[in-house]
This record gives sequence, C-alpha cells and structure tokens, in this order.
Amino acid sequence: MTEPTVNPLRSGMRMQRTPEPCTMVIFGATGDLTHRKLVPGLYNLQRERLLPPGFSVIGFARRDWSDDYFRQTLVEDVQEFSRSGFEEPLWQSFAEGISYNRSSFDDPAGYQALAEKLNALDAERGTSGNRLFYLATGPESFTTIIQQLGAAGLRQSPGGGWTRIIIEKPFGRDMASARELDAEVHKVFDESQVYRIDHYLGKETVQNLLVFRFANGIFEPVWNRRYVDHVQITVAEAVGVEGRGNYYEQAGAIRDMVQNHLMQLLTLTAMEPPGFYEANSVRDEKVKVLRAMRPLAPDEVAKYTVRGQYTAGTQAGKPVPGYLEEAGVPAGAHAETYVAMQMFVENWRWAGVPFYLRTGKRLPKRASEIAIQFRSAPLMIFDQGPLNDIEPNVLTIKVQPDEGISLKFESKVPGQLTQIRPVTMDFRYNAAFGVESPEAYERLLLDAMLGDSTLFTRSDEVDASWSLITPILAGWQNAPPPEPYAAGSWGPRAADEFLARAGREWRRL
Amino acid sequence: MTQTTTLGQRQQIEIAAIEAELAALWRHAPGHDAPQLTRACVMTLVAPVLDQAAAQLAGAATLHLTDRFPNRTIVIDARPDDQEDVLDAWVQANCQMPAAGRAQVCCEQVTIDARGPAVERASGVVLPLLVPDVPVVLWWPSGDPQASPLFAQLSELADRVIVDSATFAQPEPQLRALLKDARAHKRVSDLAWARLTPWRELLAQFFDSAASAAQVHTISSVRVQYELPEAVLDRVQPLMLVGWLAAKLGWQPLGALLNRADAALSLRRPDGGSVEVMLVPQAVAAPAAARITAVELRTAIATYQVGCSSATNCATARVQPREGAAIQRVVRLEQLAVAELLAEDLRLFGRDRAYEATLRALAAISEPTA
Repeated sequence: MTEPTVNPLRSGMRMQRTPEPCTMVIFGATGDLTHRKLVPGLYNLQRERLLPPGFSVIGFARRDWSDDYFRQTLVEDVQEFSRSGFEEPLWQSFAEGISYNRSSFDDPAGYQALAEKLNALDAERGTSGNRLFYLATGPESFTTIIQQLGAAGLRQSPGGGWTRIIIEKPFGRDMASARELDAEVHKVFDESQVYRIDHYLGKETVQNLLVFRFANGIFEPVWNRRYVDHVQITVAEAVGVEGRGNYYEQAGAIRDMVQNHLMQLLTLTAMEPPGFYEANSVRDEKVKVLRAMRPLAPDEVAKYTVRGQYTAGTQAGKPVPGYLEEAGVPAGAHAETYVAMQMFVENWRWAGVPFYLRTGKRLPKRASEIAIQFRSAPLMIFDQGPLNDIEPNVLTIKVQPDEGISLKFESKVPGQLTQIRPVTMDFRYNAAFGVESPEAYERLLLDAMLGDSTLFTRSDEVDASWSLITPILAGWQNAPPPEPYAAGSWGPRAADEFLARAGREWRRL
Repeated sequence: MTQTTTLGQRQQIEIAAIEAELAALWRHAPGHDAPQLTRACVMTLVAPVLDQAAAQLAGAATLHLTDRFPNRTIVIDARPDDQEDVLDAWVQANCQMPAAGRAQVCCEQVTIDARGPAVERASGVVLPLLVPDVPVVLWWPSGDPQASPLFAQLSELADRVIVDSATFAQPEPQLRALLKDARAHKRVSDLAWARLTPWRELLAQFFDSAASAAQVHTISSVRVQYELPEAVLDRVQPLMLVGWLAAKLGWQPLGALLNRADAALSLRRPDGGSVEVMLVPQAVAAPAAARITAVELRTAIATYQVGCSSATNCATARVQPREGAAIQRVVRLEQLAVAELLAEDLRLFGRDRAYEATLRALAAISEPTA
C-alpha cells in the first residue's frame, strides 16, 4: 500500500484523504458494467466530493464511438442508475474529464494512442502520471489487454506516479487457468499493483461482519466448535441467466458464485482476528482459512455436493422458462444453476463444524445470508417434551436485502404455563442508521485509487480457493447431470435430503 | 428524505405517567404486532426551546431524525418569563412513511411544557426519561446557551452538547465558554462548524496530492468573502475557517483583530513567514446566518480558490498555477437546513478535536498574546 500523503488539513476530517489526481481507463467501456455500475458509481463519488481534482476517465472499446457519443450514452445511464440525484452542472464538469479511445484489444496502435492521451491528461488536468486500469471485459480478453499494456510501456508511469489494475471476476476457470492468468499478470504488473475485485467485499454488511466479530467482546468466545453446531451460507438469486447463457454454460454456479462470493463470506466468517486492519494482515488470515479447508477427494464429491438445474416454473406468479429454454443457452447444456455443498475447515477453531454453502438461480427470492446455528442447550429443565422441540439459537447476518443481524432465542410465552417460543432480536441497518449505503463498487473504486487493497483478493487467495473448487469440478466430470428443480422452488430435492442425512435442514428464508 | 408521520394521537398526560404512557402508546399503536413496524432508538435527544423559532427548528429536526437516527426526543418548551407555574407533558410517536419492502421505523417524542418557575424543575423530569445504554445528546437549537440556567442543568446529563454558534448574540465569549466545556472532556459540537465541513474538505483537497502537499505550508495569504446581514457584526463563520487553518498549520497571530467586519489580520507561520488574512464582507438584506461565499489561498506558485457558483448547491474549485493553465471543476456545496446539519453532525459520536483546536486558535486570534 502506498504511503498516504501527509496533508495537515486532513487530520480530524471524516474523510482522512482523497485519492491523488488520476486517470481511470476502462476496458470494455461500452459494456453493461461500465454503464450500470462503474460510471454511475464514479458520479456518486464526485457528488460526495470524494474524487480528486482533475480526475479523468478514458473509455477503451472496439465500437466506433466518439468522445461526445460516449458521454451521451453515459449521461442517460447515470440518470437511471446513480443512487444520488442527477445535477446537470456537476455532470457537465465531471464529463469534461471523460473521453473515448476506440481500439480493438489486440491492436498495439490503440495502446500507443492511449499512452499519448494519458500523457496529455497528465499535463492538461494534472493527473500526475497516476493511472488505474479497469478490466471490465469478458475474461477471454484479460491476457491480451495485459500483454498489450506491457508492450506499450504502460506498466509504470513515466513521471513516477502510480499504476494499478483492477481485474473483474472470474479470475480463471480452474486452478490451471487461474495460475496461467496470474503468470501473465505478473509478467507485466507487480502483485502490489493488482486489485482483483469481488464486489461482495464492497457490501456494507460484509465489511460489518469483521466489525461485528472483532469490535465486540461477546461474540468471539462462542464463535468456535465448542458452541457452533454448523454454519449455513446462502446466496439465492431470483433471476435466471438473463441472456448470458453462453457465459453461464461455461461457468455454472460454482465458478460464477461459489469460487468467489461464497468463499469470501466463508473466509470472513471463519478467519482468526488479524493483528490489525490492514490489507495483508486481513488477507493473510483469509488465506489461512482456505488452506485449512480440506479439498474433497474425487469419491467424496457426490457425497458432499449437490447440483441442480432449473426447469420451467413460476416466479412471482408468472411463468418463467427453464434454463435450457433461455436465450443464448446452447442445446444440451449441462451447467449447474444450483449448488449445495459441505465444506470442512480443519483447524482448532472449526474442526468438526460443517459449513454448508448453497447458491442458485431462479430460487423463490433474492437473499444472501450467513447463519451461525449454535448447539442446543445441554439439558432441558422445562416441561416441554424432548429436547429437540426447542429450536437452537441462530445468529444470522443478512447481506441482502434488508441488511442486518438477528439473533433467534427461546422465550417464555406470557401466561400461567411455562411455554416456550422462539423470538428474534433484530438489528436492521436501515432502522438504526437510516442512511443509504454506498454501492459496493463506489467503495472499491475509491479504495483502489487510494491504494488500499484490503477488500481485494490476493493472488494466493485465488489460488487457494481454486485448489478447493478444482477437485469438485473434476469429480463432476463423471457424475450424473444436475438434478432438475422447478423455477421458483428452493432447489432440487437432493439438496434437502443432503442435509437431512446429517439430521439438519436448510433455513427457510 | 423519507416522509414522516405521527402515529396515533398526540396525548397530554401526567408527568408521573410519561413512561407508562409511552409504553401504552406502543401497545395500542395500529399495526403494533405487525413485523413491519420497528421501534428503534440510538440516542436520547434533549432539545430545549426558548422561543417560537427554536420550537420550529426542533420540530423539523425531530421529524428528519426519525429517518436518519431513530431516537427518543425530549423537547422542553421552556418559557421562564411566564407568570404561571405549569409543567405539562405530551407524548407521540413519529414514524417514517414505509418504503416498499422495508420496515417502518418509529420513534417517540415527549414534549414538556414548562412555564415560569417550573422551568427549573424540567431537568428533574428529563432525568428518568433518558433511555438506558444509549448516548444523551443535548441540542441547544438557538441562542446563547450560557445565558440560560437550563443549559447548565441539562448539559450535566448529556454525553454530548450541540449548539449553533451562528445564532449566538455574543459569539466570542460564548465560544470561549464552550472551549472550557470541551476542556472538561464534554463532547461539544457546533452546527456553524458543520456548515464549514464542505469548505474544509474542498480546501484540504487542494493539498492531497504528493505534488501539492508541501504547498500548504507556504500559504501567504487568505481571503474569505462572506455575506453579512446589514447592521450586524457576525463573522463567526469566516473567523472559524481562519481559526481552523491556523490550528492545522501552526499559525500564530501577530497583533489584535480589529472589531470590524472587514478586519485584516497578520499571522506568523512556523517557518517564520507571514500570512495575511482578509475578511471581505458583502452586505446582504437578510440571510439566515452570515455565510461564506468564496475563499482564496495564495502560495508562491499557485492560487487556490473555492467560490459559490451560480448553480444551486454547487461551487467552483480552481487551481491557478503561476505558470500554466488553470484546473477548474464544479463541485457540490450544498446549503444544508438545520435538521440536515444536525443529522450530519450526529454521524460521528467521538470528540471533535479539530473543532476544539479551532476554538483554541480562535481564542488566540481574538485575544493574541504575541
């Protein structure tokens, strides 16, 4: 991480510093991510006075667009997708720093033109050689762009400013391809320049998980195998593949969601407290969790994983097509749109505690959460029948929607008899704070500009994650196809049976 | 901002029954059992109001805070000069209008009407109404706090005191008294200071880059232009901004500050260089409070300017190097209402040491020892 600039006027300020003037180059500038998330997010940062003077954006893409046309397409998207209000004078001033560089990703001339534009901006807008490259393209273009940046001499700024690169997911499609991509990245960029983004880490509740665990004294003592029965991590989506059939058929739910988002949630839940809140201290602890996890042997894959694929069904009362009928999905497609699995963290804190993960598309609703289910009371002294009539305590961290934390516990029902009923104690972000959380991308873009990589994935973390996923992919090679489930249901029956075998059940969300 | 509404009827009740009536208010609230209705409380806010203007400010702020910081608000409508000796109480619940798919959040308000000698007993009524385990914030909406015994009584109960020095009739002695409170480890904050936040951010931003960081230590002149109501000497805002620069950059005053709106002042930098400060008032008919409209900092190699632009809620920030082209941009610089300022200020609960340092610098500027 770069040493912060010492500015005495910043001390005591809410925002301890803003980034140095810089230029952000977005590869894939005509795509959805740029238009729905990146530029609206940058506009919000500008509106909140968090961007530096002279901040500039260069869009880099193949389409034959002009600077003006690029800005024109962006203004409509900012009006639609920005969470803050649109103000014309602010936009006009922001848009003065936006330009477009038309080029295919493999054309060296396009990168020479980019280098010239960057140099010109350094002089005209005072961006001081500071550059942030953002790969918002499909993964097939990552290597080409990185090689071309290196060939054009853009790995470092000539004037001594910083150069950083943000790489979108997916980072590889298995261990071998991830390592290959990493090698290509490191031929051009030093690891300290690389910011692998997983937007889940920009979410407020995910960051609050660390605060919740390590800024409070009462949770850590019970956050271990002695008190925790099991952990369930769910990322449920109501949407289908939304026209991305080709991509999805290559990825499937395990690459699209488990290798990144669910693994992030798992490591943050299971990690030990870092020495202090700093990029490498936090990431070291996350990597330790991944290394403590036991990869499944090929003959265990069928036992500890369940795959599903949605068929036609109904969602919110409307009929929806099955995966195989979706646009862009090739005939005979076999990708899983649902995964449930059990993982093991084999260290002193978690030995014997199952971590159940599930994710799927076309589930009844959008919901992401981490649920820590505690062991039941050791002895039932109330006249309530057998012990298993009492529900266990569950601490739930809701990531989206309705972000918050709730604790379920047993309580006496008012009356002459001792009757017991579960109740919840809820903390809801919107009730306690009222303010709207920033978009995940806003936080992460700002962090990358400030040189803070705490919320980005390090090379060894990606590697360790793939070391767990790749054996599962191998195990599925000779397995039966994914089990069908109706769109709008909570996944295949086998997923329920999978937990039932362990005497447990999935939480009803 | 979410709209806010009052739940049920505002009820007049006996002082001794306030807690019981608050509980009943929730028990009988429509939809009380529905999971969508959430009662939340992150603080007790005590707001004494001594006149109609303050009462209006408190009313608007209470509704605004329901959305941002659910709390128990205790408004003390104090009329110490009344002949009657009256102490009455009212309770009500304020609820934000629910957004789609979100819980409706409600919080409660107690209004205590205290007249004549009863004002002295009001703080005794407040004490048992403070919500346990959450901070107590005393907000003094307007006027000189030190002039009222009620302020002294209530500030004893509070973890934090919020004033608005822009409404002080005698700002300089009042600010010195606040500095004493801050020294006594009370958390003190000031909405006049909160109004300066965007100005401070924009000025600081000029010196964030490695290339410009050293320049901040070579500032040789400061020019602050501000609106000034006719026949009033209200220069708290510009002086506070100068005090902040002096505190952060170690400037010491040379000579006394003249008691006039267009005062000039010389300060000495730690490196021995001098800083010339000029306050430039612009007469206006009747703004709510004197406000800054432009600030200019000069160094040997560049001039840094922030000025309100013609666009609403915007300013232009400009760097003009001695050599080369100027870099200019439009930035947001909103004029926040008191309720919004209060909500912004409540985002931080710790001591504001930058404000305390500014008060010390301001005291030194007002009464220099050098």
